[in-house]
Amino acid sequence: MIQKYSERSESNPLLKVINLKTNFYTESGVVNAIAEINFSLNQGDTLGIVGESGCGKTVTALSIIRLIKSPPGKIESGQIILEGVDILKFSRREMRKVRGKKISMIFQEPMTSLNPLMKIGHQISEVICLHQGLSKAGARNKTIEMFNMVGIRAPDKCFFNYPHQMSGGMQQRAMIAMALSCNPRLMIADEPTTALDVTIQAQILNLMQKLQKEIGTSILLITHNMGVVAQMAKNVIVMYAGRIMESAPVEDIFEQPYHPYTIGLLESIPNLASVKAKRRLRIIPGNVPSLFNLPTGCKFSNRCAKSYSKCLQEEPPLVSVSPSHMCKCWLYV
Amino acid sequence: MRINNKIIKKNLTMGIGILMLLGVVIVSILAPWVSPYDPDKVDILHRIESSSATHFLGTDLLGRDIFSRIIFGGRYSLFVGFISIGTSMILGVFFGIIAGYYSGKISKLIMWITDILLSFPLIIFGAMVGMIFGPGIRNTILAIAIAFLPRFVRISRAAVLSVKEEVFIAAAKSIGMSDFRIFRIHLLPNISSSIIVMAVIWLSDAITMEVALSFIGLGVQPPTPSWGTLLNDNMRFFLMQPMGVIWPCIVIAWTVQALNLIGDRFRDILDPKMR
Repeated sequence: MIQKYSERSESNPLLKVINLKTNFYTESGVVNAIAEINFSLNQGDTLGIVGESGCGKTVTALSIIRLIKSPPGKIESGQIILEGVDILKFSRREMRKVRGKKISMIFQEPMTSLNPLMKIGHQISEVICLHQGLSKAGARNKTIEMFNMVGIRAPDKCFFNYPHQMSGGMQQRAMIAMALSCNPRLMIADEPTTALDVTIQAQILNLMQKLQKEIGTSILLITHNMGVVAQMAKNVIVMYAGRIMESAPVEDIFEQPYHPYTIGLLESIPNLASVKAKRRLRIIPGNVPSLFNLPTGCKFSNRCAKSYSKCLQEEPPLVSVSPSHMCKCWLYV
Repeated sequence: MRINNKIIKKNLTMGIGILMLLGVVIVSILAPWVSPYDPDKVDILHRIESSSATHFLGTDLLGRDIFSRIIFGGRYSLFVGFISIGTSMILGVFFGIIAGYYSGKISKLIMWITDILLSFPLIIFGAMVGMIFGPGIRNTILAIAIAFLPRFVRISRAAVLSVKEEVFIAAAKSIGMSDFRIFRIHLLPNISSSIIVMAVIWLSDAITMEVALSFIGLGVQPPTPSWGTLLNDNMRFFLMQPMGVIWPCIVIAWTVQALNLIGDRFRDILDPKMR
């Protein structure tokens, strides 16, 4: 399985996640949040991870940047290979040098990801001072340059603004400036536009695409919005209950989805045709199963319309259905 | 409109508190120039005199001018109060941040010791420390600082526990900031307001504690004229010269009241429900 996967991807991808497994040790038992997932991301590409709430998208992201809260969280096994080096073997000190410089992260809510007591400019120049060893004045110039780049108006004035003096969109731009200020190889965007309204969302996504081209950063985009994935990503991973259900190039996912879960997800996107026909929005029946109490076979079997006896007993492997398309379902084995 | 009036009124009381405190502080700082006599100058010929034109509040057993001794006493009492609360605050916040930010054995140990220390009543704890280290200004400061230490650890830990869950702390980590830097530029500014408020409120407690310790002979030692030692000295001839007890008490009450007026308003500002 793994062999096949690595054969498929280019010989030397930027990020390669191999058999990553993360558990949470809670009072009511051990929860397996991510079960041995594999994927890779090439230089300059965007990989979208989609799935319902609680399917392990954010845990995957936090595992890669190694910010899983421990305890209760723990990365059990696997390798995270960034530019050929396994960063899971890094010490805390070495990891600090990776964060911000090679991997950076944008969070969901820009309003809470900035310190309310600190001027925006100082928060951004903090990263530059940390990793590039510039003087205060140099860091300030670089910050203003970054502000210009992410389209913040009057950047030299904004430098001295407190976060509450800016709108959500501007705050998210500032966060992007912070994430990109040291030209990281990989930017993890954890639902970067969820807290923003649609017009600002479009602006932020365009900005991210533009900057990606300029800097050559790879983006790991985590979202539950299929529209965002369609616009941004080159490859898509569909996750469910901590497992990769389907992974394929973005066109394939939308044109020919294989996994019943992916099909369900795509059908539950509201569109104009169904509104005109006055059809009810399709949904996937049921809820995400509790991680304490997962079904024994395929984790989606209890909500799947196409499930049969084998699905309930045994978990299917992730198999190739076409050269670039993989699916974890007994229907295609 | 009514709310505005209320706020103005509250700010007025704080203003009065600040003025009262400033009065005490300025007089204490300027003591050598303000006081009419050397506080330690013994004048056996004029002992236990009542108020007169030459001796404002009379003289004590050794003929020392009580008015001058009260003014100089302010220096020592305020000094002990400020320094002990300051020391306690710095150490307490340090341990509190560590105990709140990390969740390992060290923070458990800190909280365990803190809980033990908190179970002693303040004054008994101070007396105990005073007895172990012996009396004197430096040891009084030490006793008060240690007595207030667990309280500062408690509140700063509680504040850190809520601030460390904020996303901007995760964002700071995600750009590779070290823990110490996170403490300094993210945690400290965000917890400082509640800690400063409590420091002001506890400052009045610290001053009364100094008075109490010195009064029972475990604090500042005579002939150093702190307010507590003045009370201790002058109690013995209270019936002959009541001014030597009454006036230190008035000054202590004045200072404590000033600090409480400021502290109450601070507490209101911090508590959003009171607004």
